[in-house]
Amino acid sequence: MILPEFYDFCGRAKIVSGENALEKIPALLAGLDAGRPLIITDPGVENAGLVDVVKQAMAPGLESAPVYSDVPVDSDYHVVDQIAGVYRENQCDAIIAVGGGSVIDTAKGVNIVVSLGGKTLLDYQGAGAVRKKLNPLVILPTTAGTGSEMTLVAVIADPERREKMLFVSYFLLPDLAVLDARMTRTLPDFITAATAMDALSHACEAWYCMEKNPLSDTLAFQAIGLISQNLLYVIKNPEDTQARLALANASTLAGAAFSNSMVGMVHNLGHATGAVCHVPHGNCMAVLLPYGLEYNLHRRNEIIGQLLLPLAGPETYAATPRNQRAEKAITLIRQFNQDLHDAIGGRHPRFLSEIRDRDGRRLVEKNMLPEIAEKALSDGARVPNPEELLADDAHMVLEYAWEGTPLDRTKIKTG
Amino acid sequence: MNRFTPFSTAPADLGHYPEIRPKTSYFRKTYIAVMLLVVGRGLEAAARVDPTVRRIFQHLPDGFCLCLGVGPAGPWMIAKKDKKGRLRYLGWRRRAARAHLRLAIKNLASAMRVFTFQESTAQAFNYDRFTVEGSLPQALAFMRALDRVEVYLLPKVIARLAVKRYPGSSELPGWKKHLNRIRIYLRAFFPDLIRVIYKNI
Amino acid sequence: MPQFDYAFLSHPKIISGACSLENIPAELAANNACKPLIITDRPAVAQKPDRFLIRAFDDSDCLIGAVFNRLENYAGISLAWQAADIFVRRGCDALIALGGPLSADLARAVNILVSENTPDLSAFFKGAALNKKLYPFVLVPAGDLHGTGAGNTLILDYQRFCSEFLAPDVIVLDKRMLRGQPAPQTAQSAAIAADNAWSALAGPNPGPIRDAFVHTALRLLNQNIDAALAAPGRDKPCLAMANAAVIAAIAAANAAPGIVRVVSEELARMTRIRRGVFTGLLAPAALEKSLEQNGPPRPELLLAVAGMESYAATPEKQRPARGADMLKALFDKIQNSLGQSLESLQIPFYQIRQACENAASRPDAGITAAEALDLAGRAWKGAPE
Repeated sequence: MILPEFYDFCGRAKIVSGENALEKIPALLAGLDAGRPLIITDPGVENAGLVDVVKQAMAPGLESAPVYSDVPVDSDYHVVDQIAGVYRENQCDAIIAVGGGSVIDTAKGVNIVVSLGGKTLLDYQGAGAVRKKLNPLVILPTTAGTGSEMTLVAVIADPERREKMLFVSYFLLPDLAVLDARMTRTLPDFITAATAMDALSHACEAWYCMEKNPLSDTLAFQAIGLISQNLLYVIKNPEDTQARLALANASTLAGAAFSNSMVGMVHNLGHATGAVCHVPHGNCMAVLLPYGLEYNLHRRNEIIGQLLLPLAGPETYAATPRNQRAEKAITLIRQFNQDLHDAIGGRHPRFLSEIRDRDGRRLVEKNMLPEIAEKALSDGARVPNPEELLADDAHMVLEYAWEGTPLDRTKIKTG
Repeated sequence: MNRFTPFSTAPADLGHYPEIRPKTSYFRKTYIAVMLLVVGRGLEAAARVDPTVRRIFQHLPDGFCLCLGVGPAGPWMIAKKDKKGRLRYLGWRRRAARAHLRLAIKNLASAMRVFTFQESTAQAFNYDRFTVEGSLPQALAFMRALDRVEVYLLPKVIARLAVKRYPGSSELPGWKKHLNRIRIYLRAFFPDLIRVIYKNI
Repeated sequence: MPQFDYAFLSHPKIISGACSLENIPAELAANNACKPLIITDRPAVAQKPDRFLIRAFDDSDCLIGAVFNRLENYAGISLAWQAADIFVRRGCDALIALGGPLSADLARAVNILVSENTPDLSAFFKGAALNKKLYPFVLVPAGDLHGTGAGNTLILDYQRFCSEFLAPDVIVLDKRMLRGQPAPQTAQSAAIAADNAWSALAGPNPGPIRDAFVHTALRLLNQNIDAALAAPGRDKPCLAMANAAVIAAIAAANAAPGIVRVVSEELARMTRIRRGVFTGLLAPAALEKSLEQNGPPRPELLLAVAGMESYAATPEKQRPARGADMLKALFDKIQNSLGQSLESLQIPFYQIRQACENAASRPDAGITAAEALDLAGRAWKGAPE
């Protein structure tokens, strides 16, 4: 275990996990001196009946809570301000966010406005704007997942200026992150696969990027083990609550790991691909993860080799010679993508050219790759990546990721 | 706390527990100030000489003003794109003009680690040594420019500690590097360096 | 048996390594504070870490309200009142505890006094909840590698108050603060860290995140204990041990206190001998007893203690036993470094019996006096009578 020259770690959210975790929320809120939460969610989650499940579970301890269920996929500050108005009208004193990344980020934004008393979220832009404890925030992730319940960041769009505002503060971490299998039990198989691969990429990148530290390492290790043992099983047995809970835990652990150890080029290229081609985040991560590992192999060979232990188990780890472990880990991840692709009837993409929308149209065309490579320069996830990634390096990697062939490592510039 | 209520009948004698005002570390401040001067002049020169740095600053908006230094009390380096679109180093006095991008290292000790190359710029960023006020893409672009300037200003053995990847001959041929290095040093430390220092004293 | 049924909170932000002290002004600013009161203890002052801490504020926006250094070897309410007076009269807005667990306890007590604006803490010791938000609290361990201050319990005048809001907001581990431990003290701190880790691992309602914290603590401990004991005060092993201790304390704060912790706290209170001595002496016997009663531990213990290569190379069926052996070896190593035994401490038996009864009467303990006495007997290296 490497103790770096410097590190910091903060995982301040209280994690409550279990088959009856939802029932514990009223008492936990009472412990935080709150009893009138506003439930924030999106139309998809509400239509899936998950909000009713939450309300029913909380019913003995909590009166009915108002619900705002119109959070769009790409949330912006107008939505945040609107929800803040609803919070104040109903004299709420807490927020329960039920949903995925967009809902969670929106809820964090709302919490800033209602706790600090401003009119609009725009008043709180800039470093150091949030320096006080906010009102109680409970997050119930419905995917497994983005890990946003463990991050100190909220990304909210500013549609007028066409940019994404970044809010960073430890006070944005929720008071409670509640993991209950009922929230993910009905998740469709292709979303389960995509979000779990997102979590896997969080954990793997936290393992090998430049900010790795002992705590993020063990959290990432646990997360990778849980995903590799449970994901394919859950695809085939979606009703198994223990396995669903395992994936939910893995996602939260991976979120805690990457929040403190940062991510690298997989997220860098993935964010850019998502921005240019509107590809779902999880699909980008799944496709790009093996390429990220290959690109950084010359700098992190031994460390990437250690990933083989949680991915394949101790027997395979012991049987593989040390200098082959990294390559084997990368092969396993590619195989994982292949197995998911087969198990979900082809809906899980293995490479960029395979990503299609509902109408079967390809989302990433080869002529878009230069634009994606340029866009990747503006994303902060480049910095923690062990090897430098400039526009032409990114373009080279994207071309291989588009075709689906392993990276030709002789083409990587090593300086 | 508005009204003082003693917690005990024998309160502490405040005279035994003086307030402590922080001191200033003049040596460190001077060292960092000199390094920032060199970086600022180097950036201005490199923006005229090196196509990569020039392209980076061309993409930044007109009138763009950046401020790099150590918070909260400095030292600082201020640079701005003038009306002709060229980057000019303005000195170390913080002007009233609002900086579009402010990169502040949180304390002098961390700044010393960066400017004695015990930590690369990227590593310092990862260790959360910087606060960034302004656009993150612009900050990242600036860091790329800074990396290139460090390659020119520093000998290879030191520059390799400061940058993540020292450019190979395919990215920056040796002859070009040395030629540009000479040009940058000449531009950075001659003609109007004295004018800038005079303006800031 | 459901596996993922737990609750876990790790409140403190841990900052460790180069220039970590100098980060404190920025951390205070991020918590809207700029005038801390520093509370420190005499052993820490003797080694002058307060000078490093004060210099860490150079060129910052902060003003140090005062350095309260009256604390010796007992944290009591009168000292807390004095410190609270200074806090209020100087207009401070944050607390920094520099030193060992006593500084942390005093700082917590002061925080409650000034936040709740009451001179009387007895309600809290009886179980009342905190009503007001506490001021930012930074812990800087110095002169001690315990990690105990990182937990969520306040001990004042031998009374305890446990609340998740009492955990420090920031813990700063800087090698300048952690140097110069004599070897027996390092061994005692290692004992407490190892016991915290084991009781967190073996405690009820395990979960992957508490396991991750325990894993980290045990790995750092096992990797660095030889170097730390052989050359105490060397920077890297000390820093690693301090990290292990703090992480183990956070994990232990999320589990019920084990029998070793409870009995050693009561014995320390009874005899005024440092708690780490008793922890180191009792832990091997408690581990043995636990293994006898509950069978071999989970195989992941071997991964935590021995690392990946050894774990993978060990055949599957032997992993639990090997993990138990390696943990026992760690505890034995610590015990041997203490250079003492319960017998050699020559504690009168009536004190041991009284301490065991006190331990049994604690509501958080869940043990009987007979179990405690049995443990003392096993650790005696001979029968008590």
